[in-house]
Amino acid sequence: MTLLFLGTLVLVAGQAFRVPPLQPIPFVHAWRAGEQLLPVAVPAGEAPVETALARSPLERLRERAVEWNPSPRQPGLPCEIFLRISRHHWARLAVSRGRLAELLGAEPPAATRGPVTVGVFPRDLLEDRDGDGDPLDPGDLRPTASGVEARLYCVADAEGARE
Amino acid sequence: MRPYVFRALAGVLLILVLASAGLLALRIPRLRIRVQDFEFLPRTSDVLAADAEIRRTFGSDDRLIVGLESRRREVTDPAFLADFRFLVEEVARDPNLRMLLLDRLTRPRLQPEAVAGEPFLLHAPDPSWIAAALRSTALTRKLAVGKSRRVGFFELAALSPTGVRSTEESVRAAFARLAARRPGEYTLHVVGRHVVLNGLGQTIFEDLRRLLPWSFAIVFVILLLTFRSLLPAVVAIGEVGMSVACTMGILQWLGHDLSLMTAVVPVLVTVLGIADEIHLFGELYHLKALHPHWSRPALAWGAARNVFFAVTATTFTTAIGFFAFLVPDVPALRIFGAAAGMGVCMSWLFTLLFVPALLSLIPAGPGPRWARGHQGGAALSSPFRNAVPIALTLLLLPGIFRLRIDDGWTRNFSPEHPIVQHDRWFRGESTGLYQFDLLLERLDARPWTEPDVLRSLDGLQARIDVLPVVTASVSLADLVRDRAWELGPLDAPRPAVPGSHAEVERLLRTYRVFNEQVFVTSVLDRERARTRLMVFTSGDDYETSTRAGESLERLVREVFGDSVRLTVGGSAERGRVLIGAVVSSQGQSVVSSLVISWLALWLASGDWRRALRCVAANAWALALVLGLAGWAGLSLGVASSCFLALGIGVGLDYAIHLAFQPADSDGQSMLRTVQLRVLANVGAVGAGLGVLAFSSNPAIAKLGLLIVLSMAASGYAALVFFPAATRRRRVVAPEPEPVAS
Repeated sequence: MTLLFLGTLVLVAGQAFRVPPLQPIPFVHAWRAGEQLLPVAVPAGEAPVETALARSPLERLRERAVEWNPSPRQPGLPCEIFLRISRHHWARLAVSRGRLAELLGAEPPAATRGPVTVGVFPRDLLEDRDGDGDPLDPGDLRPTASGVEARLYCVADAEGARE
Repeated sequence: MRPYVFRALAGVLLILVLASAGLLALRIPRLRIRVQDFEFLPRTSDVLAADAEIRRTFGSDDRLIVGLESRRREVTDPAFLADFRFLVEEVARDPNLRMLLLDRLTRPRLQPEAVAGEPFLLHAPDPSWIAAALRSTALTRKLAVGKSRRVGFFELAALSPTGVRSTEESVRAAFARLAARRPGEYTLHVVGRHVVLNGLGQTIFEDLRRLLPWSFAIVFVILLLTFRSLLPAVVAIGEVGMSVACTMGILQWLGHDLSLMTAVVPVLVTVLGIADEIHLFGELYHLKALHPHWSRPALAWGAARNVFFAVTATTFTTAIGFFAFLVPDVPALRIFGAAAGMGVCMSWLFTLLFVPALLSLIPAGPGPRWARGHQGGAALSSPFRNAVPIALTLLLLPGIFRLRIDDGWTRNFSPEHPIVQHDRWFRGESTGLYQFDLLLERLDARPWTEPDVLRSLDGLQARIDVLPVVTASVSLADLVRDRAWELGPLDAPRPAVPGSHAEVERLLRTYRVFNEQVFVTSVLDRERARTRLMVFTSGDDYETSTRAGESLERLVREVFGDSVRLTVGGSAERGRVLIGAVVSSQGQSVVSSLVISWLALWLASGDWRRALRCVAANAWALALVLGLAGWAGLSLGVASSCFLALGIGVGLDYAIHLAFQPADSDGQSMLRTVQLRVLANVGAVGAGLGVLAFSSNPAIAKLGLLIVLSMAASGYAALVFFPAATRRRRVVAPEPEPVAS
């Protein structure tokens, strides 16, 4: 009896020691880096949280911008358009000089030291007349201070190619 | 062996045992309390695989939902909106919480016209926009605002149970600041699955703190009354205290948490350990009465040897009852079975080593009259013979067919508990906490963004929404139609699903630009081949979940036929599967432990008929309790169905003690004495485990009631099945020693 008991005990204790502790299920995000800025549409009245990582206004903009185009960044494009979506976040679209000229309806500057600020009418963003997948169509960027703020940065072609 | 050498060895043994117990007890404060629903599911279950697939495809959607309820203002009142924003911004002051926050009501929305002084696209919605959205959109109506229109909701991602606890504290602190501005105007509701599970962990801890001392106290008083001496009570409490400390220390050492199941282990080990002590002390006093000249070590070890077979056999069968939980691949049950089994084995070891060693050193007193044996009186028989058992069988057993399976997480709280109140309130005001996630995968390579495919989904959702057990549903069609309305005129009705694929894609792209990509990724994968339909149900109970699950599968088949592969996950489905799995695996454990107990008893005793009679007595007792539960309308759930295993583990002991009772040295039956010990045992174990009936957790209270009933039924069945002494085990007692002078 004792041997039977002790034998069973050893066998079962071996099993008991092999029961692994339970680990909590991790929280999973379905979006990829750059696709989603958290928090989702932050409270409207709140001031943005500044981080120490951005060293210049352009870097700060890049930090809080959602990539407009889901495809990977094209390194050779010299111009960036930052469209202000909410108080805290922006949409970033990298374009060629030619495309920027189309959107502006005028030749863009060869290079900018700071941002060039233009305006967009919100209603214009609701349609995609040229069917290219982004809501900006030729002539949508207007040299006006009203509407939605858009900031343009361009580097010289040689610098853009290096980037 | 000389007495002083024997006493020295006993002293060393005592020190070793106490030191080991002390070392293990040091680990107890490190035990964490954690309740997780998936620990009750078989690790290979379909629903866990479905949940993992849904999580990988669409991300986690564990949320902490905060509801701000106004006493008199509606959500379209500017004052309400200002206060709601104040609360959200107060919560968002914490940069970590800010990153987890999703404001469904007042987050910035598209404003087609330019707004002076706000050169951006999205703006805080004004009351007229919210009023229009409530009329013409699905998501604002279902998720952002309560049905009474006096409640606004915002959410925070629930990354972990601990995180939810600290988030809840921050939200309450933010609400206190709002309440200081507007005293008495608002009520705060914080709901979420993690809130329920955290609350359950807290209840378990409070229960343990309250019930364990009561269990010790009751057992102590019963032992005091049974033996009319302080020594057995103190020694027995010390022995079970060490067993509990070692068991919980080992549990922590193995890296396990204290859960809904393992929380009852301390009470179980306490009470089950006492049963062996009653027999040991009963035998000690009996031997002392027979051999008053024997020395203390001779009496102590003689008693241990006399009860060795019965105590070992009962511990063996009890341990088998618990170790049978190792068979199903359900983590919570396996950990519970291992811990409770280790606990009773530990108690066995201490009973046969620690207690005799201690009794070798200290005097035990004369003991009560009943324990000395041969005090006259016949064996107990009248209520245990003839018509009574037959009448009980005929009356109670049909009740088994009335038994129901029913459980749910909120069943673990009293109806007045704030968590239950919030849960019920949330179900009335909004979607409810429990949901089915239907993962629909197209097998014909057509994307879900094609208009006619999306229209079918919309149609399915419309049919699901009218099911009585469904409170709401959310799908890709909602996202597309809502966004179509948001981009159009404010006074327009809710648009239908767009007629072109390009238009659907255009609408979905705006979510990304508006920084709301999370809404799309939560219902649609990148390839557009799989979509998630979230269906919220009116309850987390087994019946509602089962009914809803069956209806959902039927409707999906009717709408999509074989063109779609359906995978079902979500908290409601997990609840449905786990309750069924736990109850059925308990059934398997019961059958396997009965069979193993019979085989073990047969092997140990060499008498298969007697062993079978023990098992039959126990099975009959449990059948009576199940029948009674059926007639009384007590349903079986995750915790309450554990009584079956305990009923075998403990209830079988009574039959074993009577079946394999020792005979005294002159061959006279000790039937009456053993019967009285069994009754004392039933009283002690029943009362000790009966404290569970006073648990603040109704499921544990139900378990306590069922255990008490099964103890009483098992004791009764043992007396019915073993009415006369038919076998006598020879007492193995040491040769009488001269009285120590």
